[in-house]
Amino acid sequence: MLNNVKTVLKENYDNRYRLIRLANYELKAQNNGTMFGFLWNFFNPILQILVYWFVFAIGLKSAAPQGKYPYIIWMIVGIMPWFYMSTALTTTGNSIYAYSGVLKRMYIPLSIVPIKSVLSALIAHFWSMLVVIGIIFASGYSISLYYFQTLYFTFASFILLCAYALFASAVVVVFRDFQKIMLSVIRLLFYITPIVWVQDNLPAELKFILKLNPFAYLIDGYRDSILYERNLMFHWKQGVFFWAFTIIFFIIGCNIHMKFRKQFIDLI
Amino acid sequence: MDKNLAIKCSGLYKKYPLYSSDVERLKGLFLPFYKPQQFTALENINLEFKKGEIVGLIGLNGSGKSTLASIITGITYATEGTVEVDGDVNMLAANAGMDLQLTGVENIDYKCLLLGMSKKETAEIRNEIIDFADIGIYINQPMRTYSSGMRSRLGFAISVHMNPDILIIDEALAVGDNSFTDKCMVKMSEFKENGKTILFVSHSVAQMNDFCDRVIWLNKGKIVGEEVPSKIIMPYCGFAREFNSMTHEERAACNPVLTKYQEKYL
Repeated sequence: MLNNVKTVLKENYDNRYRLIRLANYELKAQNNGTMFGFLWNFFNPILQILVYWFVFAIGLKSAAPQGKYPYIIWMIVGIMPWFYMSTALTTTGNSIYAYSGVLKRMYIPLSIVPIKSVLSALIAHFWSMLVVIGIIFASGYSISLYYFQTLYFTFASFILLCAYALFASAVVVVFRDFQKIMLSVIRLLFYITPIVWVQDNLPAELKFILKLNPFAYLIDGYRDSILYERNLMFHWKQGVFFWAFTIIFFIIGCNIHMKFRKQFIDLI
Repeated sequence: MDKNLAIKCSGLYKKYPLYSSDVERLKGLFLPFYKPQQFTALENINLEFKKGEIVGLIGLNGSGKSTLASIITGITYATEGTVEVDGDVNMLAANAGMDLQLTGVENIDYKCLLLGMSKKETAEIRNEIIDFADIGIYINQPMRTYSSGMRSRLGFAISVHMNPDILIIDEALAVGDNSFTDKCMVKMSEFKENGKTILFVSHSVAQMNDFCDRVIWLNKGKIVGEEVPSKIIMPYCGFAREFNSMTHEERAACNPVLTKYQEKYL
């Protein structure tokens, strides 16, 4: 069981340069043929922020939770990490299946294929977080050392998404309907995670359930680091649960991946 | 494995399950005792390839040549048996990993990237590849504008510059005009001189005759025989001709024996 985890980790470590460059390439390919090319990495988040700012701050006049920040800043600090997570969740499911043309004719270590999709979303995330920090700074707020704590939450989300990527990409090869199901689940996840709404007014029981949602832990973590200057011990119980869940999920993901990998090429 | 060997296959079987529906496919994967109908693509293959040897693989369509080639490359896995390989393997697949939206030069970079080469290594061979492909100003045009010949030339040019220890060529030389094929054969001879092991899958018996040290004849997933080219190619061609005039029942029942066809056609 742990041997499978070792194989996956080793394969990714041995091919780390190929992995990083493939992820970069995948990101670049999305902007291929556009005139602004690389700049789209910044335009995309800015346009998204404008849309949400218009809908929530102007249209719905949503109020911010406690703290010194207006709603729009509170929201983008949560929604930008979510965009990265949802991109990774939606693209990784199909990652092996979509690569069939290459995989059928060339030897590529299979476990790097789902991981490179997560990594590609992560690279885009770095650019969009730069935009977020730029906006906060431009609005006249100071930048604190707590910002570096987001790196921990980025790392945590990366591991969780890799676990999902290994799991989902393998399942989709044998059961294609899984991807369709997950697209709906991801949409649902957006609403059951406190990304655009404030959780303070929830009854205690519901709040407890919310604490079991690993994505809520991550999004809260980003906000704690950037807006509230809380260190990560503030949610340590949630943190322990998050890591227990993520590590078990990662082990399952690696095992499912290894169990099916010998059949991938014959099935895609 | 013996030190002089590059590849060793022992007791290799490849069976493809034939599922009639998606539900069956799921059953086959999860129910341990569910046995679907199977197609045996390779049956008890035992082969050894020495280092620096050029081996040809012939057989009719569907005889398992490509399956064997992709098992050795590591693309697909054998159902039973083992394959031991000493060194890097690269399958020369002209059209794999090409993106039609990218230009020729970008495709060179992309394919090198897929194969795990560093930026520096790619830069070193980029010009050689462009020279070898010899497709003129089209190298900077998107690949969707290429003719099929140009695509294959570029694909082939990239593949031969990868420099693996073991090279597998699966019908990749059938493309391009005669001048390009000649160029490829010169490159292959260069590989041979450098002591690389080459597995050559082709329907071109003439190329095989010139080029291979040994030829293996596969039929319906089984090895009919292995011999020097002069003793196996004519018998095989004779069999292929006879096969055309057989009825369906005869084709299904036929089991060629090498010595019989050697007597008849040598």
